[in-house]
Order: sequence, then structure tokens, then C-alpha cells
Amino acid sequence: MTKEEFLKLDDAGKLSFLNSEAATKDFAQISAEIGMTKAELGKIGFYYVGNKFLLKPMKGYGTTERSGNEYKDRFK
Amino acid sequence: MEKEWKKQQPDGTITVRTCGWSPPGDHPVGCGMKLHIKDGKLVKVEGDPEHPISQGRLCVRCLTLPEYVHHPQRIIYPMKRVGKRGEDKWQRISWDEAMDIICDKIRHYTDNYGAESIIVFGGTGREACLYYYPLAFSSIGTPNCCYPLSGWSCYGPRCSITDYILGAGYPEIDFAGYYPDRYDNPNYKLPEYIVIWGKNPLMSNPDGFYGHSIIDMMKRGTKIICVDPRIHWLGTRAEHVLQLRPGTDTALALGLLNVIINEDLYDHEFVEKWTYGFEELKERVQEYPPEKVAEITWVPKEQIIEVARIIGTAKPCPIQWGLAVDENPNGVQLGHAILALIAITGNLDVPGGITIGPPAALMGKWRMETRSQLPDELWAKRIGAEEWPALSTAMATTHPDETLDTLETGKPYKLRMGWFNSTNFISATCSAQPDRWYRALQSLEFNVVQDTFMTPTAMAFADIFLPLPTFAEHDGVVLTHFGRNAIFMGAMNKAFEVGECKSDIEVCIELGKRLHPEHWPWDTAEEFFNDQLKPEFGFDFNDLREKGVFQPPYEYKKYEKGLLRFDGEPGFNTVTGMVELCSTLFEAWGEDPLPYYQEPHYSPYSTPELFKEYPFILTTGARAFTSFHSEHRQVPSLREITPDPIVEINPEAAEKLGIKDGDWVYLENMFGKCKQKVKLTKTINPKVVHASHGWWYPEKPAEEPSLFGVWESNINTLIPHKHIGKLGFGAPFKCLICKVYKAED
Repeated sequence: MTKEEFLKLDDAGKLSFLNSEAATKDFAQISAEIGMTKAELGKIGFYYVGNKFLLKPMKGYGTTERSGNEYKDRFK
Repeated sequence: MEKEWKKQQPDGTITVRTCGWSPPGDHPVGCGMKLHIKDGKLVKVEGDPEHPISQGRLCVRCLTLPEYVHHPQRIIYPMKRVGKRGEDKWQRISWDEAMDIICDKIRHYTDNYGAESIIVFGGTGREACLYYYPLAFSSIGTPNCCYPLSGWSCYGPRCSITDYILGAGYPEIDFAGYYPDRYDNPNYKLPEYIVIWGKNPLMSNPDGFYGHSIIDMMKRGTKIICVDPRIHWLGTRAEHVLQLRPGTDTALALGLLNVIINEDLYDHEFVEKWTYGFEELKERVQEYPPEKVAEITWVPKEQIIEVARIIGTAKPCPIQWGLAVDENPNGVQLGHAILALIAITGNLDVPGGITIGPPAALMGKWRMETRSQLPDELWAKRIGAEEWPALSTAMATTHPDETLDTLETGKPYKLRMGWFNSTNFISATCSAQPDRWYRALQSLEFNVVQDTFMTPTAMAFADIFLPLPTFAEHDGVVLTHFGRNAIFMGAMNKAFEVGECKSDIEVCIELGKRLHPEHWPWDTAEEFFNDQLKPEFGFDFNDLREKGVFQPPYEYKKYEKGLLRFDGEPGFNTVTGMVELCSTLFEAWGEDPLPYYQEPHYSPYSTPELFKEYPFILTTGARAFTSFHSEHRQVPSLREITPDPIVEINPEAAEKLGIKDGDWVYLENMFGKCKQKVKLTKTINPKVVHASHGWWYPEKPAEEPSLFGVWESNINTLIPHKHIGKLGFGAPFKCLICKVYKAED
């Protein structure tokens, strides 16, 4: 999967893809495959811990995308 | 509260109801008060008994507001410098001229060097830090917004740790602030004990907690435990004071966890259902038995055990955390351990325990979201973002210590323009080694300063000075905990005008309309607030004025009801969906996932040779009623109460040095020295001294090199730059070493 294809997935899709890859590959291989570094993945909320990927639900300020933490974004 | 917020009295006096914010240091609690205005002047301030939180009580800073707002030294018109920097030569100009000059400079630097060459420094803010983010991101268009406090050591670490470990808003003790009938509300339960850890809430009224609520609760039967190197007023009335060695708090927290876990005093149901990593934490705390912790902290072993048993069994027993968590390079681990204590003892999000805000902020995070108006490639240039991923995820600022490095080295690029939004950080407010900042800031080519008075920082660096109003002179919305745990929201009402001052949001709008009009559709502050309030709450700013105070409803045990996670499922909004006693994020960032104790950089044990030369442990920055950081030094009534910077020394230690009460002494260490006046007190350990922060002398010469005597009593010159924790947070403002000797000059 290319970086562009990966970034088009929603968060659940991204997590599912990363963990399906993590079942057979190490982080370096996955990172090379999608062309994203650990830092870049961290900025969009994905972290590699204990041979699997985890998603931080509270998006932070790593990117310019709205973090979604504004009340009206989350609690209608 | 009464609907009418503005009244004319029979003698012609106008009375305006409002909620306070800084200045004068009501930061940002929103105490209720009545302002009495006669002939356009503020003549009297009194507490508003209808205000549900402060209930008519006010501290001396608000009571002396008339002296502040009409002070002859106050700057109330825009000015441009007509001499060299450091010379006290200024010319009054119009707002139009000021804005023309500023906008030309911003366009020049943006076009020629990129918007990242401009940096906004934010201080306390006149509206408590809300608007320097949009000033940077949305009005100016730079990614560099800097809170120049080494290790971001105030409040930010506590919020960030909470984000990582709980995935929630700010944890605050439940003082029934959500309820109009307060402590009598049937949903509320009075705390049996409150642990006040590294905080003096009576003097600081911090961030959303009205300090005297502690006394309200004590009157109803709550008992107090203080953890502090100093015995303050509340400590003298506490059941226990754990008077620890400064900087050893994390060891103490781990020792308390050791006893609570090993004696099986924890809440099994909560631990099993809602925590992640308990077994790992249990294993870790075995490294911290009470006898070892007693050696580290100087707190007796028996007292550690007794207090641990209280925390484990008292219901409820909230822990209120303070600056001890922030101003310590080991503070992330301390915050983690305190949250673990709160969680495993079943005190999280329960009546009378610790309330937590929802993960999404009420109104408050709008300011950070304005960064979405910047292009990605520009946001990526934010100083320190790459080097400090944990901090830059949780804070939308630059890394403060990296910012000084950038100013000194010009790497990764040169900063050319500075905007100082109500920050006086070459005085001993926040920056570590402010003398180093002072030299580095000389490299900025053009600076704008917004403030209420001419300060040392403004005198040294301002090219344009923009006057800010006090909270009594502009409209605004008071939002406790910046929306992260909005216990109440209050209307700040403009009662009168002094000169031509403009508020933070008014300047954001005016500058934004000139430079980025697409982001600034509002013409007035009121229009802006209407747009913020109406969609979320269904009322506008005028409605809020009439309400006076709005207390949003509160739900306990949100984790059981799917009110914390964005997917609506029960649990916490963390990576694992649990309270992370073992942090997945810390591990991902290369940090130990469990809390651990780290000895301070300089101490009797880590640097014994240095300690022979500098034989006192130095802690700094305890609050006073009469000042807010560097503010209020020119207010006569407040200065009469606190005329000098005070260093507290135990009489036993002072006698050995031939020092008497009232002597002036030098405090000196490897990094700098300063002069303060001795107060002898048995409330501090003989091996520890406490020094005041924020001191400068408005009565001393304004011009360089004096800069109002800013270097004379500047305790931050003894605090080293970039002695921070592994995740980028925490600095040793409260755990250094120094020597003390009598000043003969």
C-alpha cells in the first residue's frame, strides 16, 4: 500500500491495515512499505508498542488537521 | 443571580457585576464582584454575594483594583519607541498607525523569510492564555507560539499527563462547583480528607479552583493532608504535613502506592474493570518500600504508612495536585503516580472525589484549532516539534527550551520578529536563566509588546507598545480550566474605559481582519463570543451577562456511561481504553511506561561535592496574596503589605551563618545570584530555603542597564536552562541548590 492509499483510509482502516501487516512483518518493513516514519505515524496518532500498532483516540497537535477535541466536534 | 448586571445607584454611581480574570491575578477562577464606577472612574470593588463560587469573598488583589487601573504609571495609549532599545523614549501614536507599522513588518518578514521567522510569546494573558494561540496561528499566520517557561512547567504537564493516562480533561477536586446549591446538593459527598500536594490554593486560586472552597469544606468536616516542603497556612491546620525534601515527590508517591497496594487497600473493582497495567505497577512499587522512601524524602516512615492508610481508606479522598508536578524534571512520573493513587483508591470521577472534564473542551480548544488555518509544511516548522513529540502532541506551542536554543543559534532558522503578549519573562516569572533569554532576544529585529504597565521586558525589547485593559475594562468569558473542566462559565463585563486599551481578542480581530480577513468574520468581541456560545450552549453573550454565571451539569462515573470515549463505549479515551497505570504512549516515546523516581540534577546525593559549596536546597516560587507572578509591584497598598522579595530560612540555619531576620542576603549557585530579604521561619527545614519569584522594582530606573532593577532579586538566574524531563516537560524551579550569605552592600 502506498502512503497516499494509506492516508486515504479512516482511522479504523489504518489501524486494521497496520496490525494485519504487523502479524508478519516488523516495524521497519511496514514503515518502508508505506513510506512513513515512526514520527510521521505518531503525528497522526498511531504508535507501535509491543509488536502491534495502537491508536491514540485523543488526536493532538501533531498536524494541522482539527484534533476533533472541540466539544461540538465530538458531542452533538 | 439577579438578571440585571448593570445598575445606576441613587447617587449616580454605576454598579457593574462581573467575573474577574487576570489582571489582577484572578487566574482564571472568575471570582464574582461588583465594580462601582463614578464619573468614569472605578471607585470601589466588593465581592458579589450572589456569585455561587466565591460568594462575596475577594482577595486583596481585586480589592485594590482601583489603584491598579488608575495608576499614574499605567500605559493606556499605543506607543512607538523613538530612542534606542533600553532607552525610555516613546511617542504616543494612534491604533491605526500602530497597526500599519505592525502589519507592514509582518508582511515583510513573511514575504522575505517565511512566517515562521515571527514568534509570539504568551504569558498569563489578560484573558488567561486563551488568545495568544489564535493571535499567532490565525491573525499573524506563524506556527511559533511560545510559552517561555522552561519545561512548560506550569499546568501544561498536568494536562498532558492527564491526556496520556486518562484521556480526559483536567482533574480537579470536587468542590461542588457544578451545583447552584453547592455542598447541599444531594448528589454531592463531602470529602473525608483532601490531600493538597505541592499547592497553596488559598493564595493561588489556581486555574479553575476557588481556593477558599477548601475552607468551606473544612468547616463542614473535611480533614487536610499537605505534601509540601513548606508548612503554609493550610498546613498549620492539617492532620498531616508530609514535609518532604524538594524534588523527591515522585518517590513519596511511589511509597504511598507501595503501602496501599501491599496492604490491599485499593479498590479492586475499579482496578479490575478500568485500569491497564496494575500488575506492572505493583511490581514497580516494590522498589519503593517506606523505609527507602523515608531516606529519600526525609518524611518519617511511620508517617508515610499512616498517610497511605488514610488515602486508601478515607472515602472520598481526592488529591489536589499543583506546581510540584510541573516544576520538576521528574514531574511526569509524579503526575502519573498521583493519577494512579487517585484511580486505584476509587476516587476518580466520584462525588467528592476528583472530577474530570470531558476529553473535548467546552469552547476552550477553539484557540488551538486555529492552527488548521496554517499549511502543513508551515506547521511542520514549529520549533521543537520534531525533537519533542510527546510535548508537541499535547501542546500546540513551540518547545520553550528549544526556542531559546533557536534564538541563540539561529538554527534551524533565524527568528526575526517577536510579539510579547502580556509576558514579562526577563523578570523572574517563568524563563530559566532569564539573563540568557535577555541576551538572545537582542537578535530580534522588531518587537511588539502588549501589556498594562511598562515592564522590564517591554523596556528592553518593545518597538511598539500596545496597551491592554484590565478585566474591568472589556467584555469576555471566564472559563475555568480553559474549558478542560469547565466547572462554571462567567460573564466578564466592560464597566468603564481607561485611555485607548484593547483586549486580547479585540487585537486578534483587528490584526486578523487586516492580514487574514477570511479567518476573522467578527467585527466585535461580542459577535465573536456570540458565535462561540450560541451553537454549543444555546445562549449568547448577553444571555450570559444576565445569567452572571452558568454552571454546566456534571455527570459522575462518565467512564461507565460512555461519556468519555468518542465512540460512546464505556471506558477512558486512552490508547487501551483504560486508566493507563502502565503507559503505552510513554513506551512509544522511548520513556519508561511506569512511574519511577529520579534524583534531582543537583542535590546532596546527586552532586555531593557541589553541595559542599552550595549547602542549601533551594525551592522557589510559592505564591503570595499580594502579587501575581511579576504583577502588582507598583500598587501601593499591595507593596505596603509585601515591600520586599523574601527568602525563608530556618532560624537554626540562619544563626550558623550570622544572619538575622530582615537582613538582605545573596543567594548564589553555579548559574547565578540574586539578593533577597530574610524571613526567619520554623516552617521550613533547616537544610532548605525558599525564595520569592517575580520581583522587579517599578520605582528604580527604567532604562538599561537597570531595567527597573530586574536583575537584583531575580531568582530565576539561579535556575538552569533545559534541565528538563525525557518527554520535554518539567524544570528544576523547586529543586536546586544554593549558598546564602549576608549582603554587605
